Amino acid sequence: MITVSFWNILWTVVNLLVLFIAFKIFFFKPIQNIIAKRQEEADEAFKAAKVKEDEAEAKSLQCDEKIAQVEQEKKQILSEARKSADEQYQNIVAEARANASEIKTAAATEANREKEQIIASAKKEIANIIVDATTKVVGGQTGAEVDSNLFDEFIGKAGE
Amino acid sequence: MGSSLAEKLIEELNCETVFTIHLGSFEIPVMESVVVTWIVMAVLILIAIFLTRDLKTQNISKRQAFAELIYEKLTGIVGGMLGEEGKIYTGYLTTVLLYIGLSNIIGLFGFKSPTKDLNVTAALALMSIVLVEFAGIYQNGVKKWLHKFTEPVAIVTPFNILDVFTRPLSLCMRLFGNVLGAFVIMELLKIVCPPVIPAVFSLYFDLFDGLLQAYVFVFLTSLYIKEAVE
Repeated sequence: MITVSFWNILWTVVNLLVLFIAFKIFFFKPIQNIIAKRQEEADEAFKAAKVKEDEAEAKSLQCDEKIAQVEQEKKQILSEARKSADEQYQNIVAEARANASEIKTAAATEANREKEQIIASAKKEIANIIVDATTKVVGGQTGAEVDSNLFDEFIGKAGE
Repeated sequence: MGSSLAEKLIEELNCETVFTIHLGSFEIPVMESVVVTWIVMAVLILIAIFLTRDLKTQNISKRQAFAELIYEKLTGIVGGMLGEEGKIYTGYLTTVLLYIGLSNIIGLFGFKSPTKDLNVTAALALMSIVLVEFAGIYQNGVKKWLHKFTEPVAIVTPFNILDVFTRPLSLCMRLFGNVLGAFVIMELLKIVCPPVIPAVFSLYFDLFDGLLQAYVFVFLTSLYIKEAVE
């Protein structure tokens, strides 16, 4: 229609404004809100994830530190143990050595003593045997002088 | 035959008064185009309500995905044309785009397109120019808005003032002329070679041209707004 009608124009203007407001209420606003809300949620989730990540990182750092500490402690304990073991070993060895030398000396003294004893008893025995033998051989010509002479002679010969 | 064709066209073009509201001493006529506009509005609003029912932020339904797609696409197109400073007018222009688009193709469903009524396109153009000038004043202040008429050189001032009238006029006439022209051609085609050919042309004249003109109207308005708020 080509005739201009004031009422028609006014109606259209009103209609357009009503449509615009209705669209704002029923279309633009809800969708804008939901998009904004989703954005917010995403931001929040992102933030939460970031916090968790930071926490995890801190924890991992802490763990690393703890591990290093434990390692250090282990080393220390080991070295201490080694040291004490060494000490003990040295002590034991020294003790053993001391014991051994003591035993050795004791044994040596004992042996010497025994040897001397044996020698002394042997001397006596031999002297007796010789006295017996000479007595038997010399027979009559006994006399203290002869005995003593013979004995001395024998001893001298045996000692050579 | 000739006279009957002309009569038929005129009858189709005529926008009759459907009823009249008596308000005190006023008699407010309600034309056919206004009633069809109400139908268009009802359809658009019902679709909007249907699409935006129980929106969620996660695990969205296909319906919501579609609603968001339409929203993103339309506001993206219109907002892109308006530029950063004119972004606040996106809502109105998107509404206008949908309204003109549906009005232009509602002829397919047997209604008379509201945009075939010069008064409707005039009202649209009027609102566009009011919005353009308002945007200019709102953004720059009265002084700068007035000063803009003398730019780039003082001698073009009369033309710039003329622009305030020619722009809405051209918007109004372009839309009206296109819809009217498409309608007349379609009517002639239906009479001259009835069965298949009109359907093919209808795709262009009723669907493509209708949506294109809606786009052109919004595009030009947003261009003017962008220019005004610079």
